[in-house]
Amino acid sequence: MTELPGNLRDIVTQLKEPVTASAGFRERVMNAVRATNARRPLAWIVGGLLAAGVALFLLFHPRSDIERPTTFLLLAPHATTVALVGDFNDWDPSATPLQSVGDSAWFVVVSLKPGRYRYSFVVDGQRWMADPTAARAVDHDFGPESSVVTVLSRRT
Amino acid sequence: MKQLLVAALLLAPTTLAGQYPRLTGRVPQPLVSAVVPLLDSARAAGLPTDLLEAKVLEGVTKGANADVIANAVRRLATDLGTARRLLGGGASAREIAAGAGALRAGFSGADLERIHAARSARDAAVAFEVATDLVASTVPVDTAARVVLRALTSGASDEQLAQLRMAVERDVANGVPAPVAASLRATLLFKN
Repeated sequence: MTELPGNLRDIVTQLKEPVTASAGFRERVMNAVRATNARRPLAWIVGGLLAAGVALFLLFHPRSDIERPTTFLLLAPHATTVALVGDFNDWDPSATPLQSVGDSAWFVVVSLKPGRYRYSFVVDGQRWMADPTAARAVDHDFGPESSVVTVLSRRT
Repeated sequence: MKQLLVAALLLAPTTLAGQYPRLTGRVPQPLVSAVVPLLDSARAAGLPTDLLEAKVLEGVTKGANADVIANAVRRLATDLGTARRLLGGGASAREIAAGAGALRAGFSGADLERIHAARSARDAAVAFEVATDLVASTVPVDTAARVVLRALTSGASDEQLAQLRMAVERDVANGVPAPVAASLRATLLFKN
């Protein structure tokens, strides 16, 4: 076995000696442990109440402002662009372009808050089309027909 | 002083347009001058102006001229005011908007009041909207009102009302006469 230098040998010797804490130190440690144990039921109660509060909030909150993904789909063979315009995007033809799928299907998913929205499609930047799968709006103040979509809140 | 007043009047429309940021940059000045007073009146009356702004933007995008757009906004504002008066001060913005849509579809003020009363303490917006959609599906107004009232007195939820609408739309698309579809679906969905 290699002989250690004198200073290291002293350190090793000190480390091998049993450590004895003073009675005061032990008492302080045990008091801290007892206090932690005493607080544990209180922590459980507070945690439980918080969890119950969150659960009740989620259960009974009307959640009327939660947006819901809403899919718009149009079959438009030979179209090069299709845009969705409506009350939800200020009727801006550049705001919500549809993506093409296959030869003739176009779709887009828009997050909408609960409510009722009028909308239409603009095909190739000039041709207006109401959604053939949706209810028509009853007011046609400006010529081309529009459709309506109703987004329900989760709890009604 | 007189010159200042004239200058203020000339600048007023531009300044007012700042209150409606959705319109800024989208609406030409002559139209701003025509519609901003209408929007201001509606706002002062406590009516929801979102729909009115959307109507302006729809008209602009569809290329309608300023007079046509202003008339459409004026008509909608009138319907909103009527709906609010019929439904009372506690009506939500969506209820007022839906009520205005129902009036436009041909429902009477009495129809609105009956539907609203049948909804009791709950929001009647979806009931108005479904009634309006039934009319859009060519269900006669009196049949649509009767069907929706029957659903409401049965305690129908908004989801059930939406189911009714979808079922009727599907039936009509399949060739069932609209009044028959509406009555039949109401009978099947709301038996009591």
